[in-house]
Amino acid sequence: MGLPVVMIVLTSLYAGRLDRVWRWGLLLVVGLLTAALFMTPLFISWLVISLSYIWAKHARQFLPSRTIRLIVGSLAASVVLVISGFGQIYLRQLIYGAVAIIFCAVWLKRHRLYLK
Amino acid sequence: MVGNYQKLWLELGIAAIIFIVLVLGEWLGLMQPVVSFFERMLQPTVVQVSQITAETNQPLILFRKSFGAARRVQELEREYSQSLAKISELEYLEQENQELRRLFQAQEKTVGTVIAAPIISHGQPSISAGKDEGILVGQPVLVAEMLVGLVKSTTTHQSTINLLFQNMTQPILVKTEGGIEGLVVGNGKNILLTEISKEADISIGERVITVGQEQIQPRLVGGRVQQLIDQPSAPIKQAIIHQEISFYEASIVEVLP
Repeated sequence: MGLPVVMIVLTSLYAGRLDRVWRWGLLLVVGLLTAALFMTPLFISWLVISLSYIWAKHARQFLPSRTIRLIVGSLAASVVLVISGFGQIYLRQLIYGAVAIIFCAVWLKRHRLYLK
Repeated sequence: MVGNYQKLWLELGIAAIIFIVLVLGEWLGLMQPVVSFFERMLQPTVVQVSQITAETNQPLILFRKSFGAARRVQELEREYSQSLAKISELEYLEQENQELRRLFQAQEKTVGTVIAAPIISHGQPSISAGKDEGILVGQPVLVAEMLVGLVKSTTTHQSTINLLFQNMTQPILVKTEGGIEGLVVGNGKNILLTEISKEADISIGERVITVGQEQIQPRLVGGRVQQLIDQPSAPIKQAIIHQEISFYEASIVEVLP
């Protein structure tokens, strides 16, 4: 759980800083990596990665804070990835996800990283 | 604001187009080699990361285990002395068996190749071997000669494992050392030996071994009886099975053909 959370946060963060071709290229490569890591069909991992990026970039009306948007998006995306890949999710994994989120939140705030 | 909406719809459009292309590609089987290439490429890294994670968790596991350590050592000492007694009995039987084989010139049945695979995830039990390595769904998974689970699903180079305590759908036929037969299933927390008749005489510490069924070989050790559950209202007895070896402390498993 920690791995996809960190992976999606970093992808959403850096995809926003790239030009269009590189951005979609990066999202596609990350989609392939997650498909291989979580044993999910490629189109599902693509859907999860691209929607979490679009959510983090455009959902200002729902959540004004970028950090919270990133964290909520990555957590939801990770839960979907784990469930679609392994068919279930355990409480222990959600705890790992929460630890990763705390780490990401501290890191994002400390380095003042944001989406353009 | 209008510009933002345009950008949003444009990005949603691009994502949707790529999604449709990927669905078509997956349907036509074009994506499988690409994902398979990534699986193979990631294999060493995933194994490494998994080992680092396991090593990081080691102090925590040791700390947790230290609470019952004294009692556990006593149990192990008792089991050790029982095993020593059994070894001499088995050595005699082995010798006898070899002589009988020689007499009857029995042919050894060819056993398929055992596949050893590193564990790549403990959270969702997974191993780094899949269809290409010859893994099939339902095959037994062993850690140090003990049956710990069955293969749940496979991809080209990876497989997920249904550990015995999670295995609620595929009961395993077993018998105890005393010859009492039952089914091993999981309840999400414990490994249960169920369908034992009320009259069956079963004692704590007895070994549980497989009887043999489709894809599961006979004589695989599944653990020892740890606790008996005999509710007066229930028509059958149940027992909790304890395994000396845990999947979570291993780094490599064996998959039987």
